[in-house]
Amino acid sequence: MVAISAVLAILVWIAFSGALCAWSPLACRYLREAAPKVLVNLQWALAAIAAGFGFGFLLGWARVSRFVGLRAMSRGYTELIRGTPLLIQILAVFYLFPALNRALGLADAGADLPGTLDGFLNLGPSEFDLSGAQRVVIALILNTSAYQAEIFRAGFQSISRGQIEAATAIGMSQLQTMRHVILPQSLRVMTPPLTNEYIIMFKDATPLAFVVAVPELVRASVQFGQATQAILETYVFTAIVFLIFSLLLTGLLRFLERRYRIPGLGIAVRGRE
Amino acid sequence: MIEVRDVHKWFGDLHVIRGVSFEVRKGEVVVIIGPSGSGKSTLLRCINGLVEPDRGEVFLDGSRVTGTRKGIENLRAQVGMVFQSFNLFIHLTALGNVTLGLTKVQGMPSEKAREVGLRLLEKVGLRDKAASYPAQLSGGQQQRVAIARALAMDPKAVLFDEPTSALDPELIGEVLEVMTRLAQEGMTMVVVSHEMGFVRSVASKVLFMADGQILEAGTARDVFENPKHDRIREFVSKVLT
Repeated sequence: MVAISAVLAILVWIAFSGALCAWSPLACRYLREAAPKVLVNLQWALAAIAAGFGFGFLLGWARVSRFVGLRAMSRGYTELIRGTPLLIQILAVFYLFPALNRALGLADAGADLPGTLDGFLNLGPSEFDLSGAQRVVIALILNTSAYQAEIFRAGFQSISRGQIEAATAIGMSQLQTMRHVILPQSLRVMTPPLTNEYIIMFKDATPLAFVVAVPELVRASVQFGQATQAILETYVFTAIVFLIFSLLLTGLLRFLERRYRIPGLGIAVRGRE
Repeated sequence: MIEVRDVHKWFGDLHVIRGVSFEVRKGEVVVIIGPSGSGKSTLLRCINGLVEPDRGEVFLDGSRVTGTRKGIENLRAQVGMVFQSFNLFIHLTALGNVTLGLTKVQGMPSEKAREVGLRLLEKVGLRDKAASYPAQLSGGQQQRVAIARALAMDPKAVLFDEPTSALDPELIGEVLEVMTRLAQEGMTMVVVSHEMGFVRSVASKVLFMADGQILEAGTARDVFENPKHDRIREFVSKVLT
């Protein structure tokens, strides 16, 4: 079903872009010159979402651990990330490497971006060199991990104690209980808030790369607007491109949500069953 | 088969089990009765390691269950447990609930587990509900699935923690029927229950528990008709009416 809709979307896209060029040369030019940059935002978002899912799982699990130390560490991290602006986090990560190099006396005080840890790690001159895009993705991962951890925690806490006892009573280990009882149910509860977080990552978080001058759709659009002097139109186009891909993302997650709904449980979606 | 020796349990300052000892022989059905808050459930949990006693020991077939970290998961699987609130895995079908332990804990191939699962569902009269999810089943049906799930691990004994207390009156019978049949087949059982008809007909031994201690132990007839303590007389008369 997803494959069919993807093919359909591509066909519609091709037909649409042809018609668009006839109707508005400006939109046509935007589509060719700026819009493809959305793939950068999409790629960053997907990388951050995937890595953040893994870290979020571990952090969320630590948060409900019986060990005080683990709980405190996870909580501290989450509060720190949630309590500070993502914009500052991006800037911090961005300037962390040059600052480190300077602090360690590995680079000139005036060394410009991208800084390297080459000397520190004893690598060749270009072997360890994080690009701007990589730094942005690191900041996004640090950020979304904290938010996804909270969503995991909510998911874990939604499982009744009784089911965990029942799993223990049939001899399942903690890991098996997590894998076969807690996770499958938690993930279903977590889908709507995860969708929220993923959309925010894609359309609100990735454009913040603007402040560190790493190219993506918003930067490309601003430049396009300045070049064509069609500022307002350009922003409308930009919004439309974000909207289309956001809808695709929510559509995919909603499909998963329906696909894995547990029969007989909860409120049925109106018009179904 | 099961031996409980001077078990104590504290929850914070609360001394919920104060030195309980008893023995369950193979094939016996031991029923624990008593007012709520007397520590019956906690005692059951101590037997299969869901709760660790603070003092005292529990033996299963001569081997110590308590205090040994090694193999405790394996030991738990040897004593099945049926809960008051069923506690079925809500994301799995009735069959999935029964076979989860078989495939994941015992490592049985799924085809074989399916066979065993269906046979056990047949035993509790729910073979036709194998593909239903817990939310699609009545309370009585859910509890029968839970019994099948406990039996799937081929336990040496099954513990029942007020298995009918959460059920509507008209659904209690079907669960008691399955339990009675199990008792007649010689399953070793420890049951917390106030279903007096059931207790009278299947109990080999009745323990009356109050304030974390066993006040009286004996046959159903002894405990119900000639109780030594006034508290028991009072309790029995309340429950029987």
